[in-house]
Amino acid sequence: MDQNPLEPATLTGLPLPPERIAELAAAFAEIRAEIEKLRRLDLGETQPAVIFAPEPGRTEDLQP
Amino acid sequence: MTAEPWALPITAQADAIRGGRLSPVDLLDAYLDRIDAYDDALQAYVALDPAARAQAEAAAAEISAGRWRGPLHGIPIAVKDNYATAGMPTGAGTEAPGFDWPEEDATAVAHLRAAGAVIIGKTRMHEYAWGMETPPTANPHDLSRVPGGSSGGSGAAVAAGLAAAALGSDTGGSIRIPASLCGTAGLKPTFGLIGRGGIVPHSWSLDHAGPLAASIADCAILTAAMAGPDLSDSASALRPQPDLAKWQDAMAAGTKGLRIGLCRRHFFDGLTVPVAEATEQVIDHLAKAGAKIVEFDLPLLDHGLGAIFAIELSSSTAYHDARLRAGQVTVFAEDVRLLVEMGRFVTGADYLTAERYRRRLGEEMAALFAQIDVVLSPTMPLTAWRAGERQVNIGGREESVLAVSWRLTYPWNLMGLPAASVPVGNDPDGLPIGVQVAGPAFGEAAVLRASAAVEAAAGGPAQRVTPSEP
Repeated sequence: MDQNPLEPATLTGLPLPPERIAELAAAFAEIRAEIEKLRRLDLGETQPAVIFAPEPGRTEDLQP
Repeated sequence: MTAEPWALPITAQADAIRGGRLSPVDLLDAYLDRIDAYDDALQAYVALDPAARAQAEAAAAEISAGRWRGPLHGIPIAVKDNYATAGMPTGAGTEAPGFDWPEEDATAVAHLRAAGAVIIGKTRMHEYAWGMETPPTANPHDLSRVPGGSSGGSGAAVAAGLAAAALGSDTGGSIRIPASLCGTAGLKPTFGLIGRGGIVPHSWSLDHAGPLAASIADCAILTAAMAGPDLSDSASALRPQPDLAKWQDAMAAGTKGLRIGLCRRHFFDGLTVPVAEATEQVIDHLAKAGAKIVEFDLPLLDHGLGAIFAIELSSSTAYHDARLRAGQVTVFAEDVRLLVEMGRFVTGADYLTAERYRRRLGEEMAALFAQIDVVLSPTMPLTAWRAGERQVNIGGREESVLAVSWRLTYPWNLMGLPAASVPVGNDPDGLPIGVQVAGPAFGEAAVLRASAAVEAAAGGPAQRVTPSEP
């Protein structure tokens, strides 16, 4: 493999030329700022809302 | 009847049909005539159902034979083009190749047919439900303005009397936004109440199905009919179908004693003057009618935008991954392509942080619902903007219309809680203003009761409009 692991297309998994990825990154800047704000929030031991269920059925089946 | 049949809410149409004063075929024809006259200007529909007349005739025959199925029997309903339908293709607003959806009824559509509804056609939507404008559909109140989105065709069709009611889907506000901008009622019920089997996904944990209609009572009828267990939707709540009579009792319960929560943070930030004034008038009216107004704060709302972006972007990109790798998204509209490609910048850790955030937000909100029945706010900070307009000035501050448009609606998608939009009047340009009412999980009865109170405070359901430039 001679693929440069730091290439934008490799890093993002986007099969796009670097100019397009740069365009996307610029457009994403405002969203990134909001996500960074979220990252700084202390969520303590809160578990994610999406939790894996080992059975094909759902835990909701048990609700009244 | 004094009003034209197409102008009536479903509650009145159903009474007339049941009483033999209105034929389902005549009602269908009234809507088809309106579509013929106005849809060239509105562009609300992408397809009409060639079987609609046969459905209306079958409904008429059944009702004549004494087999009235209920309030949707013989009522023409339009379906957003991301719901699969038997006999009509589903386009999800895209013309890109690589999309093929079966021609069989989505669960919600099948429920409507079982209730006797006539499926009149498919309404235009923003491509893959990823936007709030729905080009080229026009707003019936001003054809130079957007109807909102992503269920913009449904909003325009209901407001202009081109269908009795219409189905929408709502990931960050896509039922409530067009309802607010077009002047219809709209209800996003609790996550999981209406099964999404057969609806083209946008973001699995945020997508909700629901109706846009001429009144909140009509929204209740449609929601009750579509709700119920859906084994083809992994998020179905598997609850039994709601009892419509109980919801109707709730809507008749009035305002006195209703505990209405107001969160000035976030939900009242950056409003245009007409929206702020109309909302305060409704609050005053409700307080004078005996509602208890309870102010509360929820600082966690300050972090919601990053959370919904992380979830919606990464989900949409995951859904379109094969198309992305095959280079098929290059033919998406530029705004949609940008969002689908951009989702790659959201990390897995960001996604899970957002999922942890929404759990925390939901827990804090659930605790607040011990003191209040509903939360009231405007549905949107502004009224319909002109097609092509990208920036708005609110209170001297320039903002992107797209960023502003979903600010007050998306928290209820993150929490999966029921939320309605109710028209409460127009701004000085004659553009509709909506008020949003949200409630606790599976608290549709409270949302409907408060929405009915808001509707009454506004002088009753908004009238349908005839576009001025057919």
